[in-house]
Amino acid sequence: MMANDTKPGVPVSVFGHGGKDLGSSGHGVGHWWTQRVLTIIGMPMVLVMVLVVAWASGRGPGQMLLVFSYPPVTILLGLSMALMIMHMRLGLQQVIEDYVTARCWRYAAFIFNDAFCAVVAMMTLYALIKFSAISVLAQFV
Amino acid sequence: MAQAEHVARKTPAQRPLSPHLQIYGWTWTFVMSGFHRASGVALYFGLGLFALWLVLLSSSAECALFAYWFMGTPIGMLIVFGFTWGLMHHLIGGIRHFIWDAGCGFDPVMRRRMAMFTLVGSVTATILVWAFALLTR
Repeated sequence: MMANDTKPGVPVSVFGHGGKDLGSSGHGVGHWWTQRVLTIIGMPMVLVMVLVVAWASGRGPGQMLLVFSYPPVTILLGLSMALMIMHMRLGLQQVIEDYVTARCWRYAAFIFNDAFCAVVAMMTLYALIKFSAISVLAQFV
Repeated sequence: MAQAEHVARKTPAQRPLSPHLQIYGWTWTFVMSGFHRASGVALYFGLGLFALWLVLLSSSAECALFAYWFMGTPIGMLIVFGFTWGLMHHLIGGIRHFIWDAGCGFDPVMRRRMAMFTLVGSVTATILVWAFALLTR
C-alpha cells in the first residue's frame, strides 16, 4: 500500500505496512530499528573499550600494543568498531537527509559518507590483523 | 488558498509564515538535542582519527612512538578529552532516547531533568574515565 492511497486527513500508520516507501530514503522504519539495535548491543562494549583504553593509555606504546593484541581485547575492539561504524554511517546519513537539500550535494555527501566509513573500517581491519599477528609473534620471541 | 492570493496580487506575505527557530526560547531538551547531534558528527570524525591512531600504533616502531607521543601533547590530550566527552554525552543521550522510545519520561519535569542529567552525567563520566586513566598508570 502506498502512502498516497490513504484518505486525506487520516494519519498514515507506519506499522500497517512496515513503513515501506516512507522516510527520506524510502527505507521506512528499517534504519531507525537498525540504529536502536546497534546502539543497545554497542553501549556496554564501547564502555568496556573506553575503560580498557583508559587503563592502557599511560603505559607506553609497547604495553598498549600488548593490551590491544590480547585476544579478548582485539575481538571486543573489532566488534565495537564494527557496531560504531555501522551506527555512525546511518547517523550521518540522517544528518545529510536533514540538511543537504540540493540533489547533487546530497548524493555527493552520501558517497562521501559510505567511502569514509569504508576507509575507517579498512583501517581498523588492518590494525586488528596486525594486533592479532603480534599476539602470535610475541609467543615465539 | 490564502497563500496563492498574495502571490496573485504580488503583495508581500504576512511574515513570519511559519514559526522560526529564533522565536523559540532555549530549553534544556532543545539544547541537549543539538548537542546530541553535534557530538554524533564530532565522534564520526573522531572515530576516523582513532582508526588512524590504531593504524599508526600497529604499523612500525617509529609510527607507534609518534602515535603515543601525540596522545600526550596538549592538542592530542584535547582531542582525546573531547572524544571522551562526546562519547559519554552521546551515550547518555542515547539512553535518554531509549527511555523516550519506551514511552516514558515525557512529562515536563522528567524530560527537563533527563536533559540536565545528560550534561551533568557526561561531564562527570568524562572526569571519572580520566581519573581512572591517570590513577591507574
